[in-house]
Amino acid sequence: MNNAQEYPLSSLYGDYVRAAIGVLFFGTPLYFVKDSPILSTILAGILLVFIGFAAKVALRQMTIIETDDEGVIANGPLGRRIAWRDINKVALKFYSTHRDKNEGWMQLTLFSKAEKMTLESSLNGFDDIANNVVQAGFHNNAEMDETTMENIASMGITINMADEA
Amino acid sequence: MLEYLARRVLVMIPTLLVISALVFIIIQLPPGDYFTTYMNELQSRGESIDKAKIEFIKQQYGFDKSMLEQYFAWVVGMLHGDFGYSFEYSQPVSDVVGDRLLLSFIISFTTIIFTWVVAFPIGVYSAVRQYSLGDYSLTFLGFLGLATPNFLLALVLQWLAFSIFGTSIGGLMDPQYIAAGWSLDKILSILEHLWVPVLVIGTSGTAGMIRRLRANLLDELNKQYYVTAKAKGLPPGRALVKYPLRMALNPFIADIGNLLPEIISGAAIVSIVLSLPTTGPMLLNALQSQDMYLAGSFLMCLATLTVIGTLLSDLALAALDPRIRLSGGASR
Repeated sequence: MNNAQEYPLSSLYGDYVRAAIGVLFFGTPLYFVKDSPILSTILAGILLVFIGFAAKVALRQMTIIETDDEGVIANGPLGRRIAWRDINKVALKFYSTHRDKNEGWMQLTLFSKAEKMTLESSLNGFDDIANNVVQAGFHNNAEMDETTMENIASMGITINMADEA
Repeated sequence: MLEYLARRVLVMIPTLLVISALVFIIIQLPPGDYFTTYMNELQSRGESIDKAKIEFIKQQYGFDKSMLEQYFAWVVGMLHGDFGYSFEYSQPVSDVVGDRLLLSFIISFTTIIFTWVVAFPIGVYSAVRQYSLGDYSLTFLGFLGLATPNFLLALVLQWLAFSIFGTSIGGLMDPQYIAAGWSLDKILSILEHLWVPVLVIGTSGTAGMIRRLRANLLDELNKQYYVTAKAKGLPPGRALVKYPLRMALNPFIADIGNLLPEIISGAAIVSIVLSLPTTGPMLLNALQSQDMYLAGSFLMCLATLTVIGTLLSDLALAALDPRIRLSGGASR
């Protein structure tokens, strides 16, 4: 199997717009604030968050995620590779800005001894990649916390016991 | 988490804009303005009014402009760190608030710490030892704390502090330190006076928090996962701390959003009873005298702190419990 996936432009553009609004809204007053060091520090801190967010979105746009028989590869500026057999920890988290958590996004982080890779649920083919990572994680007895287990169950991923046998 | 933080901060922008518009409309709603009230007051005392001077000041502060123009000038000013001018004190708002904000912060922060330090162990004990003598006694104390009006407790404690410890009545420090600069003696005097307002403001909050933590923890202690954990031989203390206590903490963290605005509002009635130099009574005066920029900036600060408090509690909850709800959708 060899599968290359990237983040869809529609979701990236949305994030670029969010980053631009944040930079404009908090950057403009920062330019005009003269006598209030506390306000300047707060605005500068929030501005840095949005600059960091924009950088992460740009990085995501330049990255292609590939999976093959050996493992997961992130091809891009901060490229890295984690082999299936080296996965020793998996974290699957869910974030939502809605109080009722009705809409949101997932973040899958896989760890090996030396590397760490984070994938967002907007990635094309995220469900398949998550399934493969979870299967490999269970096979390796990787560390997974209670929240991750619950999120795996919520995604409908079941462990392939035939492979385990 | 960075993405969550950025998206969550973006949600705050329209919220704060709507709140600022509402605050501005509300402080403009009563008929007249500060100067009309001021002129009426002078007239009732039979004093002469220089109408030309009043008109000049009104023009200087944009009272002759439309409400929309005044609103934009106010919002843009706040974004630049200019919170407007207090007509009653004839000073910029930031100068008027000055030390009062610091003293309010000291009282509120100490109260929050007091509330958590007292409520947390009592709440856990009451839940773990449900229906024991200790639980009944602490529950009774909790109800007593909830039922006693703060101003009454303030008066009683003030008398006790004076008759037993000889602490001066009212205020947050001895009178000789009010106008003095910061020194060790002034700090010691504040500490000597601080326990009364902290105990008064903290009592009802502590009682409420004990009840909430007890109820939440009891819910968790009756769930199957806790029974299973104990049945599998996990030591009771570890089983309690690792699972049910963590779950029961969620409402505690969600409460941070309500705690921050108290730093500014600072229990106004208690502050008036105890003659505390905090921001609460000042806000009340500003609202009564229609000192619009002072009142508006205070209310905006309250709203901003509530929004920031909610943001902090949401961030803490997202870090503590990033679970999907079974009915929710996972992808964007």
